[in-house]
Amino acid sequence: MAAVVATAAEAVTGLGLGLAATLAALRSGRTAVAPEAGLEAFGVGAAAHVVPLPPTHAPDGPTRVVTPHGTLLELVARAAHGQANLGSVPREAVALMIGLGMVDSPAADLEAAVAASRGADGAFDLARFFQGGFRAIHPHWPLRMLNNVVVGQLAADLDVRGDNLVLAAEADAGARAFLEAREALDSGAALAAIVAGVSETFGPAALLRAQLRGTPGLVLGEAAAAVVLESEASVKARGVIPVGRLVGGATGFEPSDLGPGPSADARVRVVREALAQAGRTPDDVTLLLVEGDAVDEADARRAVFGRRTDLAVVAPSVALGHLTSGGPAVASALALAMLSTGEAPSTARGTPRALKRGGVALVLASGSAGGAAALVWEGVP
Amino acid sequence: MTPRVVVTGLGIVTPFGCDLETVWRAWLAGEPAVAPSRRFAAEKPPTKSVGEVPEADVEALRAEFGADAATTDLRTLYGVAAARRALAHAGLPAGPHARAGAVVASGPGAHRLEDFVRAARPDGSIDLGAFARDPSAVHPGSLWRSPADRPATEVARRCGLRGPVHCVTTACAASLQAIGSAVREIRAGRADWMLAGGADAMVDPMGLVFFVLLNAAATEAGAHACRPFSRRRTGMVTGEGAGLAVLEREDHARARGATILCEVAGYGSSLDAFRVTAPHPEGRGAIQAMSRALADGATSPDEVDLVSAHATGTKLNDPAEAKAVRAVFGERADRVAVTSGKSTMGHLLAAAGAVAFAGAVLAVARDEVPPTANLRPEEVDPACALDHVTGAPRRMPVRAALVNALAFGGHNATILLRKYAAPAAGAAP
Repeated sequence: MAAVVATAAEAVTGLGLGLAATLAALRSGRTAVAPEAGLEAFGVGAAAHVVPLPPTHAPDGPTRVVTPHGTLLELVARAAHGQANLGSVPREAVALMIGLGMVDSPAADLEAAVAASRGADGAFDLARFFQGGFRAIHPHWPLRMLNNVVVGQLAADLDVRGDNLVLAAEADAGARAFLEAREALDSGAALAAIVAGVSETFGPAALLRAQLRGTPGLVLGEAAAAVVLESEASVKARGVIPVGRLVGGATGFEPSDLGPGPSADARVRVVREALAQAGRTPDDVTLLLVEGDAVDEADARRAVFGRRTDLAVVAPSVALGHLTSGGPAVASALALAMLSTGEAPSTARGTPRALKRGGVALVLASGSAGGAAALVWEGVP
Repeated sequence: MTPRVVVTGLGIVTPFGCDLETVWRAWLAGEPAVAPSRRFAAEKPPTKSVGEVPEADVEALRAEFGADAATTDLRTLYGVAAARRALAHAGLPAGPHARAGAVVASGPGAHRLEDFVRAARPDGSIDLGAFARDPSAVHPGSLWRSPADRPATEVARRCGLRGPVHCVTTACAASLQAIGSAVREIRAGRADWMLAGGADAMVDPMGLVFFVLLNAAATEAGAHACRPFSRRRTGMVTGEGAGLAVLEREDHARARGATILCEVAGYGSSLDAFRVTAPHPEGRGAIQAMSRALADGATSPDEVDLVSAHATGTKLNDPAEAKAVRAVFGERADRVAVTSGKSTMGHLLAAAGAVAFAGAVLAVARDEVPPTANLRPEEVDPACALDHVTGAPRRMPVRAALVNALAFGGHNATILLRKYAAPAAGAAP
């Protein structure tokens, strides 16, 4: 597999409206996780919000929806597009590969329709709903429920017309977006790709989903990140400066017997495959970004790395919350920044760890149903 | 050398049922399975016609699925059923399969009205916290219980797939993009075979008003509600179902003696970058997707005999797609057969591309093309004039076919199918 080159990275997280701000906050030991009242019923008392989100557009119009995840996506993708100067790449050759957490619309969108469909006895009447009650649904409910719409809007805003996918719904999908971009570049279908990941919009529905997928009590976060990937040929032709390379990546599937998520075996398999693609061994890895929420992940880490003490391990979710589909993009953007600055912050209130510039970082990701993913990044010396 | 990818198995769940040969005969006959909803007949939904999977089939699929059926959404039931049928058709054994995966498209999921009725407070506000105390009360079809990737992961779990497994959610383009993604995975050498396609089900209270609110639903009732390319078209008809195909590296298929139905020769994908609520009027994105698929397959438009059109029957889609076909094929556009299944089975949404793909595979393999139901030659919209197959199936040589899927939001995908020709004896694999 040919390596693909990263030429830009940007992130918006609960710690800052930018990758540099997020990394600086991590280095200073800050966390975006804060107490949140009113969620006790879901067994959750904290979350990591991105607030306030700067408005990028006027409120909803007849052909546009403005949603938190759409705004997050636009912020990071637009910034990465600009950083990489993608305007000089033919727009038909720029791909959009997006890992998107589950979208939803506010429950209030449907309240009026439910109320308007009650009979004289106060009971909901489906026939009344069909005969006109449904017209009280918020007019943007359908657009809010189609998670690809915000990607279509982004394409129109940036005038990007190339290969594309929207993948859902957890971190394994967010990692997969990078590999889909690599395939598009390898196959010649694109010269450059904006790869982005966006978390689920936080709210009661997200918490309910977490309960139902067997991960109650998880501290959820809101964040997004985008990385621009390009072929070596495109980078050379355009004379842009690389910020790193994606040198390996793999996804696999095998549910764990221990709980939600993939088995340790599946996690080990994808790591070994990703490292083999990169022509690297576990000893080459200097930085490991973990999710930090599963026994299977810890078991896989020990199986691959033994008891190495020189490996810098960072768990962004400790400070940023669990970011579902946004996790791998945020972790990848942070990994590129850490490899560039030569320092890995401690996410466990310890001391930062010096990193070899141009070293190798491994990003781990998973989905609660059993998907496992690994991405191998190489820094620029 | 890039490996060739072939189709060795098909599984579909449609308003005609779940047996591939039965569905194909009905499709060829051109008699629509579209009708007023039987599931909600008493309540008279505003969507006057739908493409529903027959209740007898739904019950049979529930029984086939097993104990978890009661807590599983319909699209996952359909997806798993289609996957099992595709594996059986391909002659592949039960898993585990270390070098096989699945790319299964689905809708992002939808709310269930029943949940909102249950969670409504006396003052009319809705309290989702009510479900926190008893999450099991959430409707099985809700996106809270059955997220977008559930069909993909359930297919993988039940078929023992250990390779790449993921879910594409680009609305009506999703399942063709899933097929394209799987093709690339096999070409890259990371899988020997993949299950690819999509599953969707929105014939429920919220689904039935969804496209009415978007002003995209057909306003006519009955079997003739959807009329792609016709001057009399009024919109789309919501359908439900699933389509999964076994895509396999050619040498792997040959080595195990599989029957090869046709070759997946090319894939193209694009973005309209126009408006999310309307296609580009000149079919800009569709032209790009078709051209890219042809280039990917190193195939000239002159070698293509069939276009399986997206053809929703909406005012805006059909002329834009017809213009795109004309732009790609030039003056030969009048001699390329065009068909669409959406007037026959309804618009199967995230599964639509995969079911159209299955039909095109059979058309290429068997040299027979089903008609676009409800399209009379004298009623073809001049803005949509092409060589439409109408009235009866057309027996014709089909060397290659393009399958289109064009989504709300501006995502476009095209797959190029080619009649399979085995490599000459002694040729390099």
